[in-house]
Amino acid sequence: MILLRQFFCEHRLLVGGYSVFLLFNTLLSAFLWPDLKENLEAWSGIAKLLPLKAVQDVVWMIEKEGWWAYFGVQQLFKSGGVIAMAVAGLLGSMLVARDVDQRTAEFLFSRPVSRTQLFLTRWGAGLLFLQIPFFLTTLLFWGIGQSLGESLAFSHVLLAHLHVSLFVTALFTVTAWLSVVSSHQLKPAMLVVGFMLFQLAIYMVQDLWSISIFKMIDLDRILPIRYGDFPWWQFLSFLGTTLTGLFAGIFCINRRDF
Amino acid sequence: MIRTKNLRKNYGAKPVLQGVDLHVHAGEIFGFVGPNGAGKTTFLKCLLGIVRPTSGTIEIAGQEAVGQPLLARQRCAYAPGETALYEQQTGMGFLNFSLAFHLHADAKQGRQLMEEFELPLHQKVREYSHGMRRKLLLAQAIASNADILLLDEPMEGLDPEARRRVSDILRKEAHAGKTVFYSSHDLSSVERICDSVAFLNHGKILECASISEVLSKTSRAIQLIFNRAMTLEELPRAATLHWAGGETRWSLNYEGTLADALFSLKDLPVLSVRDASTSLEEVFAALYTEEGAE
Repeated sequence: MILLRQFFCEHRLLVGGYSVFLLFNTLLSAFLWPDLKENLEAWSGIAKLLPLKAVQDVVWMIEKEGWWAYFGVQQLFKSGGVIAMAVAGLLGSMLVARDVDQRTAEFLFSRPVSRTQLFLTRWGAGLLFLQIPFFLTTLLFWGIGQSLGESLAFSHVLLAHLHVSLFVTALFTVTAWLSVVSSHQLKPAMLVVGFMLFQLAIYMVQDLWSISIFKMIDLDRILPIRYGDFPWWQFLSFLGTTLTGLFAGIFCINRRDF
Repeated sequence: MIRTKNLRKNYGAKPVLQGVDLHVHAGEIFGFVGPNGAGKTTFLKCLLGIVRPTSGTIEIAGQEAVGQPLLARQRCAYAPGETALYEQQTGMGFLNFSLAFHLHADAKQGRQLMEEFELPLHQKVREYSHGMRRKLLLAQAIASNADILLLDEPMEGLDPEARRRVSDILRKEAHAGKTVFYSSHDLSSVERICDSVAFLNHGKILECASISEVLSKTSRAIQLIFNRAMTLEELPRAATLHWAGGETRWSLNYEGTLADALFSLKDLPVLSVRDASTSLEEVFAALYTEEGAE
């Protein structure tokens, strides 16, 4: 409990800022929908003029699928895939490397607590800080949709959310593992966030977007969930990455000299 | 209470500890002395499992500690030497955080120690001075109520009054059965507080014995001032007495007891006598000079 409290106190600004940011994104996006829906044809015309195929496709899918596609883009892709991803990179990088960097590791690792427990507690705490605001804003988005007369099956929303949140978890876990082997908190953060920005950049390029990691959580994967087609392979790969990162983190933290 | 056998630690190809054999008894204040870079902190980190020894064994309270560092950490409280603290915590917050890990910690004692050390309880740690941080680390180690206190440079940055208080507290802890492992290069405090001492250099133990044994191995001396000029012929001669000096100021190196040496001076016109026996500092200098020459 003390580790959990200390971890939260250390990162309360980041977690607070992230939660507020997600909330704003959800509220603004959801309440923009009625206006957007009314002018969808005009938006579609503007999108066609843009040289970005990814944006054209998104607008086309919103035209076709309506609120479900809009929810997928705004809440799952933007809040989860982009905002939560960036925070996962930052938070994960601080898991252990921050203590090494700030020279508190000697004190921390001299406490009578096992390294595995320490790593798992911090990993769990970080995960909760990431996932709770994301999940709550998903619920809020869904609730606002209901009040706007846009109904979505809750089970579909949950499954789609689960898929994207596991993507964020996998990324957070890999960053946590990198944090265990790093001696400077900026290194894993820059590595992971840099890699993800690069992936986002190639996602925007029509000829390359199919090899981007974001292809695994975009509308091509989210929309079919509504028709009972869950992206199992992607989901299992996120799960595998999470478990591998977790075991690698535990192995490395127990072998490292501090 | 603490026993290491042939403890070795290499950082890459660089050997930091080269077969350290130590035995620290329960209730003892054990001084661990060495220059910077001798391997003192690495040795402490090995005891606590913060770094993994390359080879050798460590026993803490009869339990093998290398494979089970958690057991060692449960029996020990550590006040690190060169560590940063969680700057955003208050002094009291840091103390509570630290003590929360120890099963038998005494938070009340921790608070009392903070008050005794005149540490502001609700001030942020980042506003603490170097000496205050040192006192805070000592307070958390002592209040954790562990059987073994591992202290790395505990007197560094403390004013004389605080040093005196810390010395008293450590003696009290040892008297209550705690084992104090006192790593330092402040030899005067080691001589004053510790029961035994080990000298470490380049990761090797040069000497390990009780303080009195270490000091008795070297010659003892007194400095004398006479109320008139004396010649060597006028001074008492014996195989155990060695004179140096001239005129009114002489120094006498003696073997045996101080009482015997003083008795031999009973008929001389002595104005003043001052003990000039070898201090731990001189033993240290002699040991490290010898080691350097080898």
